[in-house]
Amino acid sequence: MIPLYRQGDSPIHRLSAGYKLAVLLLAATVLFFLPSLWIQSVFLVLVLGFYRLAGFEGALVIQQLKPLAPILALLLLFGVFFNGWEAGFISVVRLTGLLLLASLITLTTTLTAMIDTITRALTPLQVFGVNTAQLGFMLSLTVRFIPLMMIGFNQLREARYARGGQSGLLSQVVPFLIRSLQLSDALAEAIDARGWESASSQSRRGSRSPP
Amino acid sequence: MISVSHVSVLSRDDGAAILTDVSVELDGSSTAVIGRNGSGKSTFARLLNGLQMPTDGTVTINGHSTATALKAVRRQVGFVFQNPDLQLVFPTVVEDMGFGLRNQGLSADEIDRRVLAALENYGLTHLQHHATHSLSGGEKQQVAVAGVLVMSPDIVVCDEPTTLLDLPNTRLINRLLLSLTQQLIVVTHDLELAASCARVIWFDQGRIAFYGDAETGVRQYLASVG
Amino acid sequence: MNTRDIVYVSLFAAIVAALGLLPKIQLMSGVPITAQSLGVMLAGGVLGARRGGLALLLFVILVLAGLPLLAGGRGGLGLLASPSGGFLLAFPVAAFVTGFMVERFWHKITLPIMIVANIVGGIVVLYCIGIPWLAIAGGFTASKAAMLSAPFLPGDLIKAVLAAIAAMAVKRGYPLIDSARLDVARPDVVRSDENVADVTASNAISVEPTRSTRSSPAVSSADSVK
Repeated sequence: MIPLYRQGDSPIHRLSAGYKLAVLLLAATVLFFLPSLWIQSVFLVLVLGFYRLAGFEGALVIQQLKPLAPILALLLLFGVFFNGWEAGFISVVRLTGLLLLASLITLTTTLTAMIDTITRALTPLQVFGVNTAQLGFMLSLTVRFIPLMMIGFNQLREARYARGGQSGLLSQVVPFLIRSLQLSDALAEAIDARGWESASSQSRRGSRSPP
Repeated sequence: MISVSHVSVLSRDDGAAILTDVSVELDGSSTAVIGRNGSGKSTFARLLNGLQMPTDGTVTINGHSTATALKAVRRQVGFVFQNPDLQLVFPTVVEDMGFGLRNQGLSADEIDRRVLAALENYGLTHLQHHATHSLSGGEKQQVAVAGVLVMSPDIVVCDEPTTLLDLPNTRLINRLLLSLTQQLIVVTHDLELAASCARVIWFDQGRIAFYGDAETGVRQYLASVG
Repeated sequence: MNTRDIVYVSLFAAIVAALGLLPKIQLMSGVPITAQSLGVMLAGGVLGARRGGLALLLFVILVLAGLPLLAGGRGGLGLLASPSGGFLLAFPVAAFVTGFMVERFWHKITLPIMIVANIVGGIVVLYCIGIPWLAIAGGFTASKAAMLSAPFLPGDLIKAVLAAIAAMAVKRGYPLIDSARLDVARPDVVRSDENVADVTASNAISVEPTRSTRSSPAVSSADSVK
């Protein structure tokens, strides 16, 4: 599992994740209401300039677009077919610009900074009873568990093959699920043993809103 | 001072007795807990941190009962599990080491200071920014032990901490455990480690079969296995 | 949420990520299906509404934050701008709705009901969010966007059936919604012998009574609907 972040020390790397996300949101909104091929193209060029500023090469831009090329081509095809030449190009140029900008943010922001920012941005969800401190903890736990799950899954698959088992989707998924969930007892205990439960029940009392 | 008084534990699954009327007092010296699989020694260890509550009887740590003062008990009793993979719960070593301290409500600066000191102290500084999943088995268990010790508990309880490790790593962890200034309670099948402790508790079918001098205990246990 | 719920939710988010690693399976129609979107329906079917929705919320946040966890190794904020981004954002809602229906019918749930829950949550809800997004981000009318999504329908229907079979199997082996609701929310419900055996065998019930009363978002969400 390789995070998509690329280390660097450019102004774009140093900009806080919150600002970068705000710029992306703003750009997406504004561009949507400006259906001009001219403006959309200027935006695309601007984003390419940002890649330069961040110290990235052209090859990286291509690499970002490669997996999306079929979708973009399809969009262009359908757009031109349904909505005419200009509208088709506008939507594809806009999308390319926004995709590249969004990828740039991912490339220049660490996972930790991103998790922190997103967790903070989700604070309004507290209205629905979401505890954002707990959410941050769960995000870290998930990042920790992913390699554990991947290893566990491969072990299970190998054990299955070793006994000449079938490779059907269900015959792999069901034992994987049950075995993974069985780990939760041990994991929850390890977390409690280090004082999490008492700490969290305290903050729960503290944060409970009046009925 | 650990005081276990008339403790019985029944299995939640079938009601079978896991521990029967166990009473023992443990002072500051290191104690190994030995016995066959299923003899109740793991359950005994888990009683000490409140991971397991007694069905009958009481467990008190320095006067705090696990039933009524769990938070105080967990502050004083650190627990090291058999499988470090399930004990390390954060993506990187520093984050994981700081977990217990964050639960104690310390400031970020204080946490950083203590974590770095502990890493230095146990020779783990080079691993601080490593992903926990990328460590070797031995390194994982070292980090797990360090993550418990950084909380400065009075008592460290280990449940078969070396069962999943190879011989060099087993020796490494054993040396680390035996060098602790804290009171050590270690459940183990490693009789070499048991003999190096001051005392031994030998469990047989949920009862204490022997409690006393380590070498005598290990010798009697070996004789009983035949 | 107690510690166990936190672990279930985080673990399931990790499971959904791991399912993305499974090789794609080509159906007769040539439409590839990935095991990952099975995870959306499974989260609801196994964990229930709130925990299942939360698990997928974690997954979506991590994907957007830049971990390449989406099937095919995609990740990052670019997905938000992409035409298919709506489907990703709909994952948590889809899991919640599936889980909500499964909770409602838990005690008399059969394979067909489970399939319907998967179709309503994992297909109807998912398409209701994903298609308008596709229309806006791609500049299509809604009907054209729907047309573009239609080829995925057969694969998604097959997934709804597979996920239902898997969820029923997990229910027999490790019933998570059951343990919470049977113990606390519905003391009036008479347990069938089979259920009791399942619950005890799975260890899911091995929480202290005090903990399970505080547990179960499944319970609270179910209660709020009464």
